[in-house]
Amino acid sequence: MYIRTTSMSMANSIMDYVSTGTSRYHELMQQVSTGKKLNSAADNATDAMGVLNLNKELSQMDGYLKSMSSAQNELNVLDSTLSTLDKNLMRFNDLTLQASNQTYDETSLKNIKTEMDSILENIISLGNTKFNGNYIFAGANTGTAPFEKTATGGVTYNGTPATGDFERKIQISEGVSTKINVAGDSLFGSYDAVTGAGSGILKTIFEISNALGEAPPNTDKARDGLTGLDAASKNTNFIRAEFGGVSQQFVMTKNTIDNNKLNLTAFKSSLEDVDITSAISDLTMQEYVLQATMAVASKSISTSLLNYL
Amino acid sequence: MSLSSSMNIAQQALLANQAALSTVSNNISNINTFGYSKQRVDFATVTNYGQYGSGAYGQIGANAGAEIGSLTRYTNAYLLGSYRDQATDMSYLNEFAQIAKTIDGMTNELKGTGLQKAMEKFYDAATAMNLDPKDSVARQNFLQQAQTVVTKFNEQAKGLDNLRTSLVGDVNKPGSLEDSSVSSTVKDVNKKLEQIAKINDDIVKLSSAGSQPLNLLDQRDQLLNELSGYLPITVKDNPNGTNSVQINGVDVIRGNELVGKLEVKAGDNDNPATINMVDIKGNLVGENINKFIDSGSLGAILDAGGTDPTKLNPKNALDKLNTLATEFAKVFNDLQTGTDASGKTALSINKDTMELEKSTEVFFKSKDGTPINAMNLQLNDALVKDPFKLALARADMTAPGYDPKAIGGNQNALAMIDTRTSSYAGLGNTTFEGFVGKMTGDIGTKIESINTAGKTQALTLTQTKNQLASSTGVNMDEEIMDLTKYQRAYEASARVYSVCTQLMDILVNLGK
Repeated sequence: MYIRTTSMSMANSIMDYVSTGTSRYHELMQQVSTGKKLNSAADNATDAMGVLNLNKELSQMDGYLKSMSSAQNELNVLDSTLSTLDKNLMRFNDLTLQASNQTYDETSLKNIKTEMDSILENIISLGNTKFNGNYIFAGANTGTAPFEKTATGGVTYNGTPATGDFERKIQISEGVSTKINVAGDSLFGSYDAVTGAGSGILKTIFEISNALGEAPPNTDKARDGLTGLDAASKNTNFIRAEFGGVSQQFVMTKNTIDNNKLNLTAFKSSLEDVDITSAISDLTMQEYVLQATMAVASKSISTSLLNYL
Repeated sequence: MSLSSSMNIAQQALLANQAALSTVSNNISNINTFGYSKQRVDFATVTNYGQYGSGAYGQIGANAGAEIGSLTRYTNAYLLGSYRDQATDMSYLNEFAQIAKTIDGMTNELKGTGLQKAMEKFYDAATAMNLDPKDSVARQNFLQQAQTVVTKFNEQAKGLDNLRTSLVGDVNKPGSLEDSSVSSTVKDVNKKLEQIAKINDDIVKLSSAGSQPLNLLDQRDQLLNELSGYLPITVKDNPNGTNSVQINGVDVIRGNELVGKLEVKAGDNDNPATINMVDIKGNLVGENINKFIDSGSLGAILDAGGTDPTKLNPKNALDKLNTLATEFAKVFNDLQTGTDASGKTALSINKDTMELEKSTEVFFKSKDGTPINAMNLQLNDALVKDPFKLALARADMTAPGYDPKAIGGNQNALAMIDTRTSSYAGLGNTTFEGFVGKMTGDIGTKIESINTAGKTQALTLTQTKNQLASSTGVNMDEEIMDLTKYQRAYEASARVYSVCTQLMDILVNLGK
């Protein structure tokens, strides 16, 4: 038994073979030239969903990294400010010790007070340190200089408390946010020259300086201030250590994220990128198949009884 | 029995072979006509009835040569029927694949221009803004990215809605049904029905006892094939060569008579187009036969215009998009103006005093006052005009220590960033971007299965088509053989005739 074939069915078949081959060839060529095997969700819905999820995660990670690197810069400024503050406090401490030795005459004590006042100015300006246009010791009131000298000779704190609602935080990983600012009032404090009320470093150094400004200079009172200075220095270093810890946390988190990013990027690539080696070998293979199909087609089309009759 | 009878036989043979040659010629010339069925001449012996003597002489005398007994058209009713069924399914899948491709193009998230990418940039901007909440440039940038998200929502929603309208019309837009694919397809179907009935009528008129105009049969088969591409039909052959066509079991063509057709009427929101069956005068025969038209290009259009969640349709995708847009807008509006359970209020900045104040401007609005969806989603213009109206701080205004100068507060900005990782019950407990992923995956899976089914169906159809072409088409070699055969037979008959003529000459000369 034979199956009847006709010129049209033969032509149809040949056209089919050739166009199937060509379309496959084209598909592979597209893959090789774009480097992507996933061009639409219809190519592979599961992988496409995976890629979208990975896109989201990678972009989140980039966000965390960006936040941390910017916050890290702010923390660096904070750290160097605190370090300067500490040096200033040490110098103030030395001066206070000298003054309380009771071996200096009034002129010398006056000189000491002058230096103390300039340190005091320094410390106030340290309290008004800016990073990227923001006052870093102002709590959430980042637009206004937090420490302002009053007409009566004291210093007020214009910032907000750095607790609760007014902490400035950044997100460093999913669901984890970290405080990146220290409240100016908890460190520098404030001082009201009229009532003598105040707190923190400012109260301490103002009182010492004012004691030496009394006539005659009250060196005993200045000596009493030493305890306060010591506490201020400790507090400064404590805060330095605290934010040093935050920096450390950033470094570790950054390492973890970098690591994860690498893994996820590799995974994403395995979902959407073409394995070039196998794609090219497929392409070569397909080229042979197509050539063979065409060769066979040209032979079978030209075969006809007409050639022999 | 006489010499002249031999001449007659030869002459008849010449005519018959000439006719056979003309059939071959017709076959060869139609070798590339799609739908042409090969015609074959069947020779038959001719017998003289009457007394021609007895014995062998009588028997010989009864031989009267050959004639063309019949002309047969190569056809295969079974193959033709299954070809039509398959063609109906194929055309369903083809049409659907076209529609799917359009939807895929609109909702493609992998090209880096989709909704997810827009949300990604939106959250990136939020992160940047979080670092410096009082910076108006960062706020502006964030709002711009929010605008991009809104535009994406609008574009996709409009695209999907327009696609649906172009398929089956929109009950709220007069005139849209008339311009829709479903109307034009139904028009085509009705036209084909008329043409088929007309050809059936011609077949009846041109048919004489038992023989039919073969080319008309071919033409009609071809029309039936085309009709079967639109919707599933049942074809029944009648003894007189005509046939009857049924849609959903009801006759629309009965022989040479057109008895029914389809009409489109506006339906409801879920199925904007209803297809009815009416008789030739327009009286209703079958109301709403949509669900019976489950295949063919018309079936694909109806399915894509419907709401079946198991099938790919723009309405379904649009509904999901609307759900997402509504939830997205609600979450951000709540953050932008709300007070949370612990009494903390969203705070924006008064740009004149540069102090915090209770935020009153919502984040997103609706363009037309109806509840927010993907189509009418709009960024509140007040925010764009004054980015400081964006609420990035959040605090309890009544608590002791509340300070309106805390414009660097970023609690609300953080809360906005946190929405990225929050799951929402309204979205089936997924995140915003996760929902986009699910939408894309859902559409992708459906397109994938349509494409796979289409590939399989194309293979089957090609096979059947080839089988059909193999059994009914023209084979060149066969025709060449026939050509040679009839040529030789013609030559031989001519020779017989010429021998007879010579013998006749001899006979005439004998009498001289």
